[in-house]
Amino acid sequence: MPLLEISGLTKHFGGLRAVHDLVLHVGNDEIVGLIGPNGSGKTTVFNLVTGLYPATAGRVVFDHGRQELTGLPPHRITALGVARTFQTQRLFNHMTVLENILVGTHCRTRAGIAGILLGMPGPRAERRRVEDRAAELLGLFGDRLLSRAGRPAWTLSYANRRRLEIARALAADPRLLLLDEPAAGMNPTETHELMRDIERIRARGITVLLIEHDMTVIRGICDRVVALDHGTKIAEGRFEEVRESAAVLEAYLGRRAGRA
Amino acid sequence: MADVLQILPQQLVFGLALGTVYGLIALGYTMVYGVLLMINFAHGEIFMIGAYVGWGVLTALLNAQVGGLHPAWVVPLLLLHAMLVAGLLGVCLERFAYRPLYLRGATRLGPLISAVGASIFLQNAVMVTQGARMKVYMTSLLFPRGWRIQVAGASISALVIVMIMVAGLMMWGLHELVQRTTLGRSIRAVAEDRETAAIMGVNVRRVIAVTFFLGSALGGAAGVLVGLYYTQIDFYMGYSAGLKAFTAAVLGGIGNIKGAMLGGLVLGLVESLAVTFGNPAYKDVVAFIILILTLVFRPTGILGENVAEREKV
Repeated sequence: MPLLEISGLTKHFGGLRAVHDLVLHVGNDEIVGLIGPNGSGKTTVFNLVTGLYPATAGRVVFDHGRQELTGLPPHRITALGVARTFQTQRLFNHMTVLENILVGTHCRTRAGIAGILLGMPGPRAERRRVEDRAAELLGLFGDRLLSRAGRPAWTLSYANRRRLEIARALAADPRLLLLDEPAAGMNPTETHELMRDIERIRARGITVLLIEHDMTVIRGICDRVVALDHGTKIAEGRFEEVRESAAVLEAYLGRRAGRA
Repeated sequence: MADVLQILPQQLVFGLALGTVYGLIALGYTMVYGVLLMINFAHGEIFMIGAYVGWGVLTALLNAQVGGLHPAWVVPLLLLHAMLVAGLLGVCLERFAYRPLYLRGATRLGPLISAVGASIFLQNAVMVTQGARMKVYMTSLLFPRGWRIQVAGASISALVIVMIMVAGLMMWGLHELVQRTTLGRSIRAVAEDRETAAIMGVNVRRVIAVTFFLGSALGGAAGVLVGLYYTQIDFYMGYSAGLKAFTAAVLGGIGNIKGAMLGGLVLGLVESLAVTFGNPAYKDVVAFIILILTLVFRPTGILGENVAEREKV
């Protein structure tokens, strides 16, 4: 059984079939790319997997067939080990960089609400552990985030905000990380750095499913590529195979070639 | 004019006491607005019920003829009961009057109307069960009239000092909680972006419930303080106090916790100055003129909304 198994997944918004009868597997330690033209339903798939939308039909099963995700609220799904970033950055802009990470660790801390209300500061060891972990996650991106830990998130540069989003998602200690266009708006140098970062994340034993329009990233790091169009899967395989598929050429690469 | 200047220090102390109480109630409005973007118009009634609970406990103590009634333990006892009942009531309101609406995707108007309904329901429930006549806090048995100090021409009673201290302490406690604890971070995260907070593993419904508990508990505490101070309470007292506190929250910047405290203080002081220099009959008029002026000229309040940049709901 693969780590994530999506079967018959369907989402209709009124008359619009955003995702239709999708079958998708993601195995342990894979990096899988999800591509397709704008509006092909990629982000909707993420929203369905993370529980933001209820599915019209179909199932999402996690943890090698052991855990059904369909119908669970988002915070439960996160606690089970699925984390994500967003296409447009959605940091807590008025919180500091460190606090953003700490929110990400919430599902891994045990300090109960009763304890907080009674004024107990929580076991000191746990707080130390959480803050050490936050520092470690910020350190994934060298000095870029670590040296700015105390600043409000809105003061960060665009690329650093995207890095912080990834660090915040990792704070939930996921086994599966969903990245929604992580390279959007990055320059070539930043994009290459990002590819190295994603490889490093995989090396930590985290499986990655990413949506990306930048084919350098898809070609460079994805073991497998799944192409969507109008909410259905039109091709799947290694990048070179998918690139040659007639359906993909028509739906996606053809348009992109015309633009480039 | 000399008369006026003589009573000015006294009036400023009143204004300060009144302002901290307004601020305490305003926190309930502003915290709930922060996480749900709705005005809980039943919050005034939660404040009123807090006053009734405090009265009930105090009266029970007096009836049982407990000896050695001293404010040092009686006031905390009254506060504790009022806060607990008010807090739980707030959680129930959220659970039964608001959550069913926002879960079904009602517009922001739905919960608002439900809140007005809850407000009328609670007023009448108290009237039916407790009677329409006012209840009297036997404050003088707790705080003898002689307990007062003279400062700069003002005669300050022990009760006023206790009020300011209790309200100040609670505001400080809330501020620490929101800024420094995991729970506080969750509240801020939900206020800034509910969906992202959920994705980050925050249990949004629980955070909303806890926010209602905290805001309502502070309102209940304010009810006890007002009861002790004015000594007379009735089922209708939440209406005007609630509107004043709402004004304070808007004045400071709705959704902004420091703003609610600041707005409360400003409103209390302005009201007491209006009484000093103008006609006391216009006291309420001044408060609502402030509300209108704020809404017209600075709708985000003095400190601005802390939860801007939100695209929807």
